[in-house]
Amino acid sequence: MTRLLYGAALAGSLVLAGCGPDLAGELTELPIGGELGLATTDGSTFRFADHREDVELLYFGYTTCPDACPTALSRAAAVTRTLRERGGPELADRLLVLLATIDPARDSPDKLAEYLTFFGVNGLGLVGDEEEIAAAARRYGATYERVESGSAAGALFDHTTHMYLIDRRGRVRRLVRSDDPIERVADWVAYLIEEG
Amino acid sequence: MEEAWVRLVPPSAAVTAGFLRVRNAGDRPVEIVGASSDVAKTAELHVMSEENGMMTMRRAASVEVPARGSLELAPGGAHLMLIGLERPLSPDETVRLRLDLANGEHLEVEAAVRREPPGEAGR
Repeated sequence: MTRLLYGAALAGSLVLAGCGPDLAGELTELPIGGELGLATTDGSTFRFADHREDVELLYFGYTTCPDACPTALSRAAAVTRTLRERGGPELADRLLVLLATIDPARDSPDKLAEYLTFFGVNGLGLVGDEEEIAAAARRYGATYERVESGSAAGALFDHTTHMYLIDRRGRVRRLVRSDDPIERVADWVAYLIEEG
Repeated sequence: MEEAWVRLVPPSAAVTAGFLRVRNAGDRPVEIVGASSDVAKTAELHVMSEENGMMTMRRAASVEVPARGSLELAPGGAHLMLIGLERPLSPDETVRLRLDLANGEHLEVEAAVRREPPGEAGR
């Protein structure tokens, strides 16, 4: 029985290795990241360790953002739809989209939750005070800068546009760029879900 | 003006962005110096650029449509930022966008409210 399982696993990995891109080679562990030290919408501290079944896409953004953030969340939603087409909700629900606000003064937990629901992702909004958010961003190498541009929208932010792809053990495995093809991002997520 | 659309945002959102392409068949460049919309208190021109994974956005006093050319306001580039939405937007409705030109003329267009850029629906 053990041998049979081993054989099946080997065959599976051969299939993974044999066709298409070298996903393992594209998903090497990056020397950034770690626990965020930010709270979820219900007030509890988010811990990757509590999400051993999930793969995460983490984004540092804000809801008053007119273009980059809706684009990123639309892309996360497209990845979710692609996973659903491939493996149903069992697969799609294991991608957790984390939106860590860089604008805590305006982004309440409820507003973040509404924002994520609107885009149709399985998501969690993450909040903290300014220092906590800065510390989390620093750990990931994410940068943002408040810009007083004289806009009627108030403060706007220059900020990092990539998403951090995080495996089931909480390790950053890929910076997902804003022009990475959706199908490939879905391949990465599926690979990390399968990997364990 | 063509392919005008406005991004659908959650009901509580105070801002969204409008996108479109402006063609200029004339021999002289045309300068756009302002904008407005029937769904927002204010509209501004914003120009974005992405470099090394960092998105920067600045309010622009004006943008130019080159002579015998076109200017595209598209995600990741420039947009009309609609600020202070008067009511929640709904999918498939249209809203009115107006561009103010330096010569005092105005251009008006009906923009579809969409979740995604045209051509990317469902993706």
